[in-house]
Amino acid sequence: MRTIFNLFGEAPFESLQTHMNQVHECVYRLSPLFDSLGTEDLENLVHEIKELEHLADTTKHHLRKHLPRSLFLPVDRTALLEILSFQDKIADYCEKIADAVTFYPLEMPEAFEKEFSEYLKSITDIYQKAQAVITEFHDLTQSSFGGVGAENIEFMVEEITLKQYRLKKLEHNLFKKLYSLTGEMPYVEFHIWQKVFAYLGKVSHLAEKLVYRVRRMLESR
Amino acid sequence: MEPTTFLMILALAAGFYMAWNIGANDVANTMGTVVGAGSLTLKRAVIIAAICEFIGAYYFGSRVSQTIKAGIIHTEIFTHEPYVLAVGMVACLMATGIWLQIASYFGWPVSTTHSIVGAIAGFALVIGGWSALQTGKLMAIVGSWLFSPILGGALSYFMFGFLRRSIFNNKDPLIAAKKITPWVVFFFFFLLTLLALFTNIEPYKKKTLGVEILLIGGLIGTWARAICLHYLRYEMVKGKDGSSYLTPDDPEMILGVEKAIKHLKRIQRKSTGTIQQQVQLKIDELKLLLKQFHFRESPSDHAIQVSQVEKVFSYLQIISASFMALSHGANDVSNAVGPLAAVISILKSGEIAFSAVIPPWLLLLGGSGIVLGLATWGWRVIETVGKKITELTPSRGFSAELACATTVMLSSQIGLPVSTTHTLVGSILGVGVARGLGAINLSTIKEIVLSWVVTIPIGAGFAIFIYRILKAIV
Repeated sequence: MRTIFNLFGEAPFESLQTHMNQVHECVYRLSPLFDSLGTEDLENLVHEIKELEHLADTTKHHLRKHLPRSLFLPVDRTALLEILSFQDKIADYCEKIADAVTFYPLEMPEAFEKEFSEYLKSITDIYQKAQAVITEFHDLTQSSFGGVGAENIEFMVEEITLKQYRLKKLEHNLFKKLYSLTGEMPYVEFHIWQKVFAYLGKVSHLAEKLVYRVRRMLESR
Repeated sequence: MEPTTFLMILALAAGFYMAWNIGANDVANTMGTVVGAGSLTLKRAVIIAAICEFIGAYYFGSRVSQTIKAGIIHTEIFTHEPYVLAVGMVACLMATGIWLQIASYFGWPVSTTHSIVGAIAGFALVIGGWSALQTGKLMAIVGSWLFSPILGGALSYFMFGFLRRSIFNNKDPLIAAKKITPWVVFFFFFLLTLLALFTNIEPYKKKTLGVEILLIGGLIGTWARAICLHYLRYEMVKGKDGSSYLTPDDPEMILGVEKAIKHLKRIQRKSTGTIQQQVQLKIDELKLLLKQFHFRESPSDHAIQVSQVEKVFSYLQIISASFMALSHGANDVSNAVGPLAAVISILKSGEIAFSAVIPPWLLLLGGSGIVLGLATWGWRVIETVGKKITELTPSRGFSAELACATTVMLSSQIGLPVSTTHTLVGSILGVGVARGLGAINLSTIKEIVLSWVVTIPIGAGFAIFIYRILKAIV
């Protein structure tokens, strides 16, 4: 009887969703991070983000370790690992951002404070939509990757594409504001803000690529 | 004590032990998933298993038993020394029993069928050389060992593929399930009747029994389908019915959006450059909004329906598990009864004059042994199995079990001894390929193939060893 029991291996879908949720914890703390610029809370939040990124890394290693070639999966293994990579990179960028704000005592410039918080909100929103896609994908294992669930994912991906397009416009305006401050802002601050903007852009871009990969994986079925 | 009496007792004991072993270890394959899914209590599962195994053994077990008794070796070779064969068969029984005990202790996936056939073939080979073996028949048997998991896999692949396309991919899985499962039940009972009766065609080739069997199958199928329909209506009335799409709050809302899109399109046609691009963007936004009205169902609605479909299948699984027990009894009882029948026939008549009939009381004995093994030890294994195997949800379990039972029953009617466990592995794999399962360890397949290679020589070796000992004593 052990034969039948040994036939079933550990499916990666649960772990993938867990990893996505753990990365979300990192992304979710970006807004509070920038809210706490110049206060004592900053250090705590930076520390939290780093811890959470490390936690996500452990999950990632666990997942990768338990996907041997002898495990037969209902979806493309390469696709799964690519999606995991995207999630991992998002967490990495969150950590980079947390690092960057500690290089120099930054303060939030009034010039783009409003636009920036809108920018952050959009990014978090996009990530949460991507998270919903992964959750839906996980549910699809019950109904064998077809039908309504796949259509739902299609719809959600389109939504994300639209949001990303709007985000790009926000980003453009943000950069314009930043560059208009070159005279007033010390170069070191300017440099760090530039980096921060770039990293944040990466986060949402990766989330978009992530869901595209999920959609492609389902399409090829 | 006379040597013949001693042999007789030894044979009966070894045979009964084999049957007990089958009931204790193998039956869990059939009932484990049903208990795990919760559709049957352990007690009910054991009772149903006991009844079905017994019926399978008694009514359908004679053909395979005949194969094992006289289909593997050329028994005529032993015409001048019938007792050699008798002692040999007893040795095979004992050898297999010991080998199985060792293998289950270490957890190796060894098959009872492969062990006994290997022991008998090996014994004949050593004693009588190649001419002692019915190589043609033996090749057919070994071929069936390879073929039965493949057939089981193919059948379950199609079965689950069908379920996936017609039920799970549907917008309303529960409604689709209610429509389709009565037909599945019909098909199943039709198939079962056909399998149970088709061998009766042969002696009556002239009569139109073929058509009659189809009619009987159709009748039984329709009766089963009616019961299923009634049960669905009565049981599932509490379930969610009707479309899972929520109607939008206000049909005027949809109309308003559609009108806006129409107006925007008009602007788009007349404009150029950046204005046109901006308008196009607005149109896309509105189209997305429109879709939202159609996709108001939360993902959980679909998930709820899927879990209700699984509930339906957990009842269907009772049928498929019973069928599994039936075909398992039919095929595996031969492992004990086949050699026993040979021994008893020799000891009673003193010569090799094999009739083509297995005495019913032997089948009774075998069946009882299985039931006893199930009642004393097998239930524990069922309990453990059920708890551990959660990945096999009822719909998957149903597909795999139906495919496996069909294959094993077919083999039993043809008279070929196959391994139920390995066929089940093939069926589960078939469901996996149809994307019904999360992850499957292909390394288990390697283990199984390895066990094939190892079991036959070891079984034969043990048999020879015990034979020599017995020959010295008796």
